Amino acid sequence: MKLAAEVGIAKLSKHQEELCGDATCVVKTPGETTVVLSDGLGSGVKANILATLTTHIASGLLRRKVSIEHVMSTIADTLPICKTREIAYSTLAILQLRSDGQARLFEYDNPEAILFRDDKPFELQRQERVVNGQLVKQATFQTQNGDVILLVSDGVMHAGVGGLYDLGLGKEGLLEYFTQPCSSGEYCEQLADRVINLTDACYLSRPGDDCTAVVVKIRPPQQVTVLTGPALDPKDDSKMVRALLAEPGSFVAVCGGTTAQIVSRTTGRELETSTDYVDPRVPPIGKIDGIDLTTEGILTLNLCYQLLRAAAEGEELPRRADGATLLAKQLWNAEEVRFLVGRAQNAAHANLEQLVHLAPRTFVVDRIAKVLSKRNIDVEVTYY
Amino acid sequence: MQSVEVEICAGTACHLMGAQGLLDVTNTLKQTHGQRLQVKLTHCLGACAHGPNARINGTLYSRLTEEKLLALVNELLADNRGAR
Repeated sequence: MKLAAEVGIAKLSKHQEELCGDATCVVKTPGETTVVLSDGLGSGVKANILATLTTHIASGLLRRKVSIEHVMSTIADTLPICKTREIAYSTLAILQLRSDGQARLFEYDNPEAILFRDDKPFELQRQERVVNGQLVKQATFQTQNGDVILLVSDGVMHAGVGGLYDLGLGKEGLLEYFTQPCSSGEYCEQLADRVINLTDACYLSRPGDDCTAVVVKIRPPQQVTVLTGPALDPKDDSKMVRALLAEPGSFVAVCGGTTAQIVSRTTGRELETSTDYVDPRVPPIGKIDGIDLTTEGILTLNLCYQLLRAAAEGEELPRRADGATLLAKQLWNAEEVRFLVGRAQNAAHANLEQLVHLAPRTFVVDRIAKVLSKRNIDVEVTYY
Repeated sequence: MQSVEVEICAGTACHLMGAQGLLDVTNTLKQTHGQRLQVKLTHCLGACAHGPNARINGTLYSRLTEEKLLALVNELLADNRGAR
């Protein structure tokens, strides 16, 4: 069985610091997902620069298919050592997951990652080795569908030190509260939020260190199918819907008011529209039985593209539940995406698109496809 | 009981022309009229060039403003034309 990794990240900056001194990076290459977490020494700008530098070196090398051992040794060799504390200026954890389930974990001065299997912590056999004079812990293991792996920076483990706890939250404290990670049905980012909210509470909302939680969930590869726009020839509308329903994949999105009406009409299922304006930039989502996400078309796709582009530049996707964000999250975490694009244009939209600088449907789908392809997601676009 | 049903178009063009404002003002009337006024968003009503649009008791009204919509709904609530 092929497996894929879904990653959720949550961060908390030290009290009165704007920048987080921890940095993360997720690199997807064909058949592999690699997660990098680095914690820069201290806090604020200096720590942020050090951690960012470390993750950028690691991700840059990994993208060029440099072996993980070589990446670790390059970073261990490159990292400066603090003269006062005699420790490296940043820590590093690299988790590499292959589509056959094989996982490799490298930890350099980072709290030990925790593997959860059936909601229980699963002991990982670690080997210690010295790379360029630095002690690196290494584990190789086989993952299973439903496994959850939690990586944290030391700010999480030390949460509440000297206050709520004598020695901080620690692994035991974390395990006491971080229950049912595999079976709760929460998204990775919700699980990561759970860890960070706990950490924040332990620090009484005045974090004494930067804190990061990275949650990796092992699941089957996700195929997302997006149907958008009416066909150029109205006779092909039902052909599009049939193509959608014949191979729906694991998540189906319908983007466009008219498109949703076509699906509703063809399937005989009712279309309802929510009245909840989560983000005023896009109309509320709709609902059709059997369709996972129903949204408006052109505004939603344009905002979705902006969110994906920002995510590709390292920004996190928002925690909102508007149509564009929900779609972006699914696309960003997918392994395969199939767009079924109708090319009919609504004449009344043409002027509006120019007025508010919106890319027409085929353009914006093309742009989204390019962002996703760069992330090594397989994208197929079919026009009608 | 006489009631008025307002369906505000949530299509792309109507959204850009102020559908959310129409929904907000109509919802303020709900506090006074309760169940007599039903407000919902609906899919494209097919009059994109003349938006924002709303269907009130089955009749399509185009180029609406918040004031126009309030006046229409208030008028229907006030007399028997709102009866269904």
